[in-house]
Amino acid sequence: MKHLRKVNGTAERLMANASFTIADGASPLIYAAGEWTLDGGIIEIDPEIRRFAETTLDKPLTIDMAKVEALDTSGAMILQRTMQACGARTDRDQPLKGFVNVSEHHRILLEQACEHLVSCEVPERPASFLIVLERVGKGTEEILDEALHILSFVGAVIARMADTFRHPRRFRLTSVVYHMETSGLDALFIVGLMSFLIGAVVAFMGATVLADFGAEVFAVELVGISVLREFGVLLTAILIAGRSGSSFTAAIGSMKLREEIDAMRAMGIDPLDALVVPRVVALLIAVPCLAFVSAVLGLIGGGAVCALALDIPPALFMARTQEIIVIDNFVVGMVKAPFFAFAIGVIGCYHGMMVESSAEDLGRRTTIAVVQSLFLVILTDALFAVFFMELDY
Amino acid sequence: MAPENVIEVRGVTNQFGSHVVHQDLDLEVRKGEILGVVGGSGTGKSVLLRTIVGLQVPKAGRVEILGKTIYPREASAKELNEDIGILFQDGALFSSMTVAENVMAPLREYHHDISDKLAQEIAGMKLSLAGLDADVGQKMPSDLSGGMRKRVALARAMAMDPAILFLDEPTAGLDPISASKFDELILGLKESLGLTIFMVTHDLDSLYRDCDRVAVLADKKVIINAPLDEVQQLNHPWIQEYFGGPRGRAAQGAKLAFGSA
Repeated sequence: MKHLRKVNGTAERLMANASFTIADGASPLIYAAGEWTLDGGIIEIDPEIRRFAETTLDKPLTIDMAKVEALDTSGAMILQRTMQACGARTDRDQPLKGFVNVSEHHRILLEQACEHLVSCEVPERPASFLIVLERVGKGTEEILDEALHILSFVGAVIARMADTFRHPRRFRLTSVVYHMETSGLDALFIVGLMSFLIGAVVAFMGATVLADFGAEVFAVELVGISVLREFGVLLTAILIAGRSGSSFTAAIGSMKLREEIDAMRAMGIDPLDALVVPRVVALLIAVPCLAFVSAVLGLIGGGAVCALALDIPPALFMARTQEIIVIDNFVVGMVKAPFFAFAIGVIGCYHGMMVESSAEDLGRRTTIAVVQSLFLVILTDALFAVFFMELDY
Repeated sequence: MAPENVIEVRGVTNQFGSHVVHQDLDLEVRKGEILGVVGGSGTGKSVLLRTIVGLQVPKAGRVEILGKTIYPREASAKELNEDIGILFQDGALFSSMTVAENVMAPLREYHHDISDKLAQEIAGMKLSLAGLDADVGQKMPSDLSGGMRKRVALARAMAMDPAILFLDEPTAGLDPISASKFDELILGLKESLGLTIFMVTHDLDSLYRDCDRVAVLADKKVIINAPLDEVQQLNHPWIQEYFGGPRGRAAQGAKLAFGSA
């Protein structure tokens, strides 16, 4: 006596869904029917037939193809896989062993499936504490490695820049001016606006707190010192890191991907000379200028709030500002600008030069470049703060 | 019985700014054939391919694939994309995915419920069909040679068992041995899977060996779409120069040797 089980795919189709009926006898027999294609529901019946194959190991199987209306490579693959799993272990000379009632078109597909029955299994990664340790270790090593790389890159850039003094003709003035425009002049408006607003906010917040002590008028000192010493230059650096640092990485990185850098090297052009030095020099010039504008607009912002909201007339604002040793604070602020500029330029170009192989990597490097240059800017700023404090400046 | 057309292009005009690439262009591709599309640089071979698959919207005309109207737009992109596979010139593999994931991407897109195991089995089979070992699956596209990248791209193009394969210069940039193997592969796939293949190519050997018919793009039109023998007879300066040049004659000689061997 035979037990018949029928398994149906469920995809909605005009033709019959893929299905199979198992006749359990001494040797199992499968009646395949319907549309054995990806759209015909083989995905739904795949687990079922897989389970069948696992429970029917090593029994010669027969598959009846008479009712199969359509077959694609995936369907043929599933049928062949089942056949092989069930002990037919067909040798490649007899790809149709075990199949009956095979039409001409299906024969070719089944033969192909037999020949190419390989799975590219993804090895599962064991999740364990060791893996975490391994990744921490790798990450640490990478950070140290990268720090060394960056140092050597900094050295190389400085050497190339020094070299341009000996060979001034190699200096790419056009390129420098172009980058001064895109990184400096084009950022002027946003830097100025930001500083103006920050100056205004500092004045306003400071005055509100100081009013409790009846010392409202010290808002002027607050604005003057904070804007000249810190905010002006720091805001500029942060903005330039986000704006130009990332664009340096992206531009150089995509040139690297398209082998433009290799083409340059092959022509005997040093990419450091052609790409990196002009960008760094442009920032070295542009960032201090922007920082200056930023400081001035910060003061104007503070002054505007003082005049409009705090009843401190501009004349008084000016007079008090001049009292707070403007020049010292201004110098402290401006001295930092070229250092920030150098850090941003070098980090941006470094990550661009390190882009390898894929668009994915380019995106990753761009992010790292911005984060790292911001980090370096803040770090440098902190070091300068300690330095000037020790100097009592 | 008249041969069935799987692709019909009628009166297509493509224009970029004031530059007219195609003017009133007609083309048909028959079921189960390999059509080679040739033409000088800038005659819009790739633009034609992009127009047919719906990546480029023509200024005028009508494009039908497998009875579905691509332009004026009626069929949704998804409906169409299941029936066609495209091999882009440089493979256009997704660089953030492994080779296996690349091949599985269309499967997962169209069949969300597919199990990992089945997807891997299908991907393995397609890679094998494209002539690659299954262990390539774990590599990243950037680790592969140009020839292998094309094979992976072919495997990905075939993932959904498309009825029509579009190949944009499949053998460009391959060494002669790889190119010849790629030709064999394409012929074999056509035989075994009954594919229709639309192939833009500059490779004269591929033309002689693979193509059932050849469409020549010149003067903003398809000037002839016929078996190679007829194309060579046509008295058109570009065609005479193309097939009559030293490279054309060499490929023809190779074909004769190949045929008699």
